[in-house]
Amino acid sequence: MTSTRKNLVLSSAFLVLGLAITWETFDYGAKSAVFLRGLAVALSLMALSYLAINLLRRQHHNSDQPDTSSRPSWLANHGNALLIFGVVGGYVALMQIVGFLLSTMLFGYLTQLAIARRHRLLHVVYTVLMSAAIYLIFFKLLGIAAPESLLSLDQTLKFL
Amino acid sequence: MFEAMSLGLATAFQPAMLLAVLVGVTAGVFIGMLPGLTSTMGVALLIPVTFSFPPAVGLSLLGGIYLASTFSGSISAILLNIPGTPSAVATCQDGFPMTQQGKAGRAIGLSVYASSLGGIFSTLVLLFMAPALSELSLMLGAPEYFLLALFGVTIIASLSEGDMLKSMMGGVLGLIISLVGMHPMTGEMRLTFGLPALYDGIPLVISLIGLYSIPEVISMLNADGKAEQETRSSFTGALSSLRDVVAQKVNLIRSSIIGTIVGIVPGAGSSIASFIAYDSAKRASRQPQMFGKGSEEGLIAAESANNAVTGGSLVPLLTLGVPGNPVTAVLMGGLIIHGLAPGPALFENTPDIAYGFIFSLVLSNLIFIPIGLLVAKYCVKVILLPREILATTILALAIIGAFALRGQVGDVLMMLGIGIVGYLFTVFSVSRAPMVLGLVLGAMAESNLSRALMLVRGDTGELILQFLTRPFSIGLVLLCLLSIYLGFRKGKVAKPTAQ
Repeated sequence: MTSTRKNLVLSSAFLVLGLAITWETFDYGAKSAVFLRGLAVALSLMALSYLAINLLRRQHHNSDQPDTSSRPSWLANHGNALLIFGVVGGYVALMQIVGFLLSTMLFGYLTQLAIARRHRLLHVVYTVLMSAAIYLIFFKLLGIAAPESLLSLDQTLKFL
Repeated sequence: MFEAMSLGLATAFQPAMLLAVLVGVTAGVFIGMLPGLTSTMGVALLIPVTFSFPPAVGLSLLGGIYLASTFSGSISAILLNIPGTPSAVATCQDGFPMTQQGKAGRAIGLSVYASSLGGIFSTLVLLFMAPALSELSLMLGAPEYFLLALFGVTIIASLSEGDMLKSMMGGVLGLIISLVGMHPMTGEMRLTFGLPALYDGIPLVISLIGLYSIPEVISMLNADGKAEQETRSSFTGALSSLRDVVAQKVNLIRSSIIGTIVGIVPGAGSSIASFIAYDSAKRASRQPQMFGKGSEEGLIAAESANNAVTGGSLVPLLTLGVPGNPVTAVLMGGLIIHGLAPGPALFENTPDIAYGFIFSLVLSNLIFIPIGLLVAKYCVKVILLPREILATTILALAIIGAFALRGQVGDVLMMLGIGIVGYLFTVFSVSRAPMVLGLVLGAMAESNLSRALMLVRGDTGELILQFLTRPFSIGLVLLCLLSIYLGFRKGKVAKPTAQ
C-alpha cells in the first residue's frame, strides 16, 4: 500500500471512530459528555481535514500506482502480527481452563516452535525454567493471586 | 535546622541504613525493569518487610525502591523499546534508537548519570526549600491543574514525527481512551459497552505494556536479525558518559527543575515531567531534528526530569502530609505504620528520622549508579538470546505484568487490544508517543475541568475569567499559547524542508 493510500485508510478509520464516539456521547448526561464530545468532534474534524488533504494530494500528484504486489504479500507482511495476536488470545483462553502453569508451558513451547523450529530441547528446557521463574517471582515472592481456572494448581501439579 | 540536619546525616550513615539503601536500590532496579511492576507496587509489596525495622531504616529501604525503580524503567526502554514504568516512556524516544545504533552502553550510562543527578538535585531542593515549596503546591487549584494538563497536550505537536495532524489524531485517541469508564464526578459509565472490565477504565500501565511490547515483539520477528542483535548488544561507553551529562548542565538543570516542580504538583507525575522536559530540551536544542533518532540531549532531559520528580513529590508529603501521587500515598502508609505523622511535626519531633530519610535518598541516588550499570551490563546480553526465546519471554512478562496489576484476566485482553492499536500505528506510521501523552493527561484534564466548572457552578465565562485572573493560571495560559505557536511554527518550517 502506498503512503497516500495508507493515509486515506487511516483518516477514514479515525473519521468513522470520531463520528461513532460523538454519536455515543449523546446517550450520556451533559456533564459526563462535555469533554469526551469535544475530543470526539476534534478527532472527526482532524480526520476529515486529513482525508481531504490526502485526497487532494492523490489528485494532484497522481502518484498512486495500483499496488499489485500488496495482495500476495499481505500475509507475509502481517503473518507475524496475526501469530502474536493469536498466541496471546489463546494463552488467555487456556489460562482460564487449565490454569497458569500448564498454559504458560504450552504457550512458551508452542510460541517458540511457531517462530523457529530449531533447538527443540532448548525450547522445552527454557519453557520449564521460564514458567517456574515467573510462577515463583509473581505468585510466590510477590504474593499475587494466580488466575482462577477450571483446573486447580494442585490438579495441574499432579498432572505434571 | 543545621543541627537537625547533622543529626540526620549521622543517622543516614549508620550501617543498618546503608544496608537498607543497598537492598532497596537493588530491589527497585529489578522491579522497575519488569513491565507491569511499578514503583507503587514495589513500595507497597515491601512495606510489610519493614515492619520490624527501626522507622528510619524501613523508610530508607522504601525510598531506595522508589528512586531505583523510577530509574530502572529506562533499562528495558533503552534495550527493548518497552518502558518498564510509565515514567520511562519519553526515554524510549531516543534511548532505543541509540541501542539500534550500537550505543546501548552509552545510552544506559547517560540515563544512569542523568537520573542520579536529577534525583540529587530534587532531594537537595527537598532538603533546603521544602517548606516554601509546599506553600506553592497549596496555591494551585483545579483551574491550574487543568491548564497544566492542557499544556501537556500542546506538547503533542512537538512530539510528532513527520505528519503533525496524524500525530495529533493519535494524541486525541489517547485522550479518549483515557476517559473510558466512570466519570470522576457524575459516576456515569462511558464507552464501556456494558463490559464490567472497563468500568474502572483502562489503566495506564496496561496501555503502555500493550502499546510497546506487542508491536516490539512483532517488529523483532519481522527483522532479519543476527547482525542487528550483535550491534544492539554492544555495551561500551557507559562509564565515560558522566562527563557528557555534566557538559549539558543547562539541559540537566532545566530538566531537573521541571521534574522537581511537576513532582511538587499533586497528581501530575513523572511521565508528564519527562515529556515536558523532553519538549523543552527539543525546543532549546541546536539539533532538534535529532530528537527521536538517538539524541543524547533528549535522553538526558527525560531521565533527569523523571527522577527529579521523586524529590519533588516528597515535598508535600513530608511537609504537609499530602501525598501527591500513588507512590507517595503508599509511602505515607509506611510512615504511619512506623508511628510517624507526616507534616511539619515530622521535622520538629523526629528530625533524625526526617533528615536521615532525606540524606538516605541522596545515598540511594548515588548507589544506583554502580548497581544500575552492573545490572544493565548483564541485561544487554539478553538481546543476544535467540529471537524466539526473547519474543516468548517478553510476551509472557507482558501478559503476567498486565494480569498482576489488578489480578484480572480481562486486563490481559485489554493489553492485547491496545497492542493491536499499537501495531496498527506502526503499520500506518503514526508515532506512539503522542498517544501515550494523551493517555497520561486525559483523566487529569477531565477531572480538573469538572472540578473547576463545579467551583464556578458551571459558568464557563466565570471559569475563563478565573484562567485569566489567577496568577499561576495566566502563566500557564501563556505557556499553552507559546507552545501552540511554536508547534505550528515548527510545522511551517518543516514543510518546505520536507518538500
